[in-house]
Amino acid sequence: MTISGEVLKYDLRKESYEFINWMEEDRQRHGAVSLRRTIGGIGFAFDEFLSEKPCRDPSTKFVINTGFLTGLPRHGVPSGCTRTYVSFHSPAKEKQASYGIGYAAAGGLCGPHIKACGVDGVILAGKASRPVGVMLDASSDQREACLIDMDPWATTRETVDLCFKLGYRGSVAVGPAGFRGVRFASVHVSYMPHDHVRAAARGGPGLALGGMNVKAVGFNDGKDRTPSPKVSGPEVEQWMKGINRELASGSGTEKYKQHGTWGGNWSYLLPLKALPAENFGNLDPKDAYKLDPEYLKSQGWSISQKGCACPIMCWKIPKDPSGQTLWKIDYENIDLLGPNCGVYDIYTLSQAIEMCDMQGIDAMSTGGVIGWFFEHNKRAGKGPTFGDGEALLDLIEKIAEKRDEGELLAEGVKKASEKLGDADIAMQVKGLEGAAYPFWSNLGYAFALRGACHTSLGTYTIGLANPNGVSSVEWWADEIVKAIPSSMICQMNGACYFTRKVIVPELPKLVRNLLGLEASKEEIDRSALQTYVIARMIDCKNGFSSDDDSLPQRAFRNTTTKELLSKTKALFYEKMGFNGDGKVTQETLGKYGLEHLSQYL
Amino acid sequence: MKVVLYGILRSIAGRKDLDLDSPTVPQAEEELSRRFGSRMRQYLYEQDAVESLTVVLNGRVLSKDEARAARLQGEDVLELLSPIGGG
Repeated sequence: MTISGEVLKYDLRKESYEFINWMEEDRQRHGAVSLRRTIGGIGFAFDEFLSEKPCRDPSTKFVINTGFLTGLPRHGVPSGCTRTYVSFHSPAKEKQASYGIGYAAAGGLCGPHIKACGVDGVILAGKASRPVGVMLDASSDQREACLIDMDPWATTRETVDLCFKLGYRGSVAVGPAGFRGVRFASVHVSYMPHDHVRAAARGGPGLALGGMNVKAVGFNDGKDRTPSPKVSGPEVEQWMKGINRELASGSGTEKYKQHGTWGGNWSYLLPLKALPAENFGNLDPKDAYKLDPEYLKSQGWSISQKGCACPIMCWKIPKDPSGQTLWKIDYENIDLLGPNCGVYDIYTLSQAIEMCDMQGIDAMSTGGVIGWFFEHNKRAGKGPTFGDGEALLDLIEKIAEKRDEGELLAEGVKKASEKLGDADIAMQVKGLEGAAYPFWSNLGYAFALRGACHTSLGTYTIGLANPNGVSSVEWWADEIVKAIPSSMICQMNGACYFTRKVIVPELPKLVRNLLGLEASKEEIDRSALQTYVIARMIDCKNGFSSDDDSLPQRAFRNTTTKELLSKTKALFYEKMGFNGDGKVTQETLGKYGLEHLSQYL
Repeated sequence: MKVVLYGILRSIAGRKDLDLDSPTVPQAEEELSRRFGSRMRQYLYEQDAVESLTVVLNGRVLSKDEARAARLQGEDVLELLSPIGGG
């Protein structure tokens, strides 16, 4: 099977480690190994955060792992399946000094290196006494792990390059911001030497890991221990070739290759007057055309299709007419740092994104908090405000260094607005700054696992395209329930989110051929729903309730009303089997086959 | 009636807009599929909730039922958009 059934557990306080056969442990503890844990990603990791007590410190446990599909095509898995997942108590998701569950994911090439070390992931616990790298050396017959001293103030790129130099081709790195206590600090995942790192950014994984004094986790897979698919043979090879052909040139991924998320969303949201600008207060910005890849191309720019180690190529690299190459651009980061802050100069924005990546802060949250700060200033009749590109760069530096205004902004938009006022325009849910889609069109944000995140509950854009549905309680409740399994499974299986149209329909067959297990679509969906329920259970333990399933004031426009949200909430809870306060009960656990977890209610 | 294409639909057609005589939206979609082939057809009939086609007639977004029922006339502008589904 394409998982090893082992994890490395490292106790940072004791500086000791062991390789655990987690499948055997699960068998002994629960009598069986669940499909959810076997598929992997957050389906595996969240169980590690179940506790009978609330979490008072997000920097006590951190899981880095893979999905059953994570690997390279030469290992018998589909292309585009290189995901690394990180799970943690989210510093962004704080309720009365307790922390809900968080996760983030990235492509790059770390995931396949983890697998090649013969483990499905790493579980870190405790705090190291000094800034360290946790290094797993699987280059010889004997696997060993050790701690090495590291410079906490090195950039993410410098850290990943150091890992490469030391022979650790797979790495997860924290930037300086994670050690300075920026609440939305990110971690970055290795790709190729001296190339762009990939960010797993949402919810503050960099602070969770940096707070444990871990600067990097490295994987040296000099001796390839990647497990092989359970079933092989010409028929399986032929079928896998078909999947890879579809991923490489089919319609399921074509949009990403051709336009990337940047061009694709610009060409969709701009004509619909739904491109967030000025802290989500303007959805039809007149200058947005200046950042339209089609416009830039007409002005002599090239927008290349360089991607990470997958066939998708979702991010693009612009090159200006003089041949100057800029930093990589995705939709979310350019919109939230750009139009959302009123800035339309691509050179400034490219620099802004690079600064966020190097310092290790989430570019999306950074754009969200600065957009809010600009509007807060505008309301007060002072600067800096929308359109000030120099201030944007200055504030990013101050946030990363936690100095001057940056000290408060580094706490995230929820905390900053609670202190300075104007919480009504703080565009966040459960402490997470919003993705770059209009809040009014996505009631699902209220119920998304990690807050205002489009991928943790994929109901974004459907509100824009369904004018008759958006005012209906039944329609929203149905769409949100339907979106949970399809969203969760993409955070479990190891495949890139953008391969989902090709990969998800093939999952039963992939489970059969790669893992040697029989599982129907319904059973796979159930494992994804279980993951959502477990996450909710952890959140409830940490004080989250119905009141937190909310939207910011600015989201209530057009057909999106507080009454609609309230009624949808009640119906959603009923459909999911939660109680009236949105909590997981004994009955809920029974409904999803999770009775064995009742001690954590 | 003028049809304006965006994103991947524009890339497939190799043009921004075109004039069609189709009296209904489904007929316009059929005509586009006929002219530009199976790739165009796949996007026009996309079933995925997040990525399904968005139809805008004279500046107003139409629901699926409205799009099926709408009658198109000479001065109408029909915009067709295919969301990217992620960011």
